[in-house]
Amino acid sequence: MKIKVIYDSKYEWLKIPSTFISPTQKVYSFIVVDTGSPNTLLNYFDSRKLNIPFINKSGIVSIGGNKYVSYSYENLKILFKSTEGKPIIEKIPVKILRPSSSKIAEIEDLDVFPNILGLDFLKKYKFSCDLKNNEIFLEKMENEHI
Amino acid sequence: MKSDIEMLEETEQNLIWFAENSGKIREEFGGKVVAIKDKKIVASADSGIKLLNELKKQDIDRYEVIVEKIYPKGEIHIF
Repeated sequence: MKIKVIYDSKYEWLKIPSTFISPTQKVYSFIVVDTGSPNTLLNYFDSRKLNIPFINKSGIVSIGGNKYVSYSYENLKILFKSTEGKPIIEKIPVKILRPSSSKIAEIEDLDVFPNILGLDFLKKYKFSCDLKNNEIFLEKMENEHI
Repeated sequence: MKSDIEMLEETEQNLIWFAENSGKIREEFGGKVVAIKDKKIVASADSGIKLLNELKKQDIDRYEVIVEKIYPKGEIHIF
């Protein structure tokens, strides 16, 4: 099963339409494919909508020169659409970045930080990327489960 | 009520529209946070928190829109 990745050539971002599902809420959003990130990250904005509790501290994450407190969450499902229009549901542990202070600038930065699909997820898929022809896919191997 | 797959298809169409028009959008909304619905920018604000307030004023549910930060022209965002 293949998932189509959308290439935004102005921003140079690769995005996948995604639905994030917690035990109590759902958010329709997108996730940015980032082969440079070891972890999958859920942004603060969506995590609040999903009513995710900040319980399990998971160390400091450094992004673009800023350091953020991260929390791990193991109960999130991410729903994708295959190129055949079928659902692909994955359950994967995510990290959530939370402001370490009440500084408005920090909260606002994290609020608009995109969701990131990291290598922990990508290594379970075959990732083919032909930017020139806009043919970018994640392909799930049969019988492969995360 | 729309199914999850229908919602993902809508999101996909909105993301494709955004990618195709991100140059123009960047010129008009650079530095803002925007909400996209039905291939249109339906709200914009200086921050995610302010955008939520704007959506509330317009009686638009957060679940109906995609939220994007529009980086100003010339600014590259590296994670």
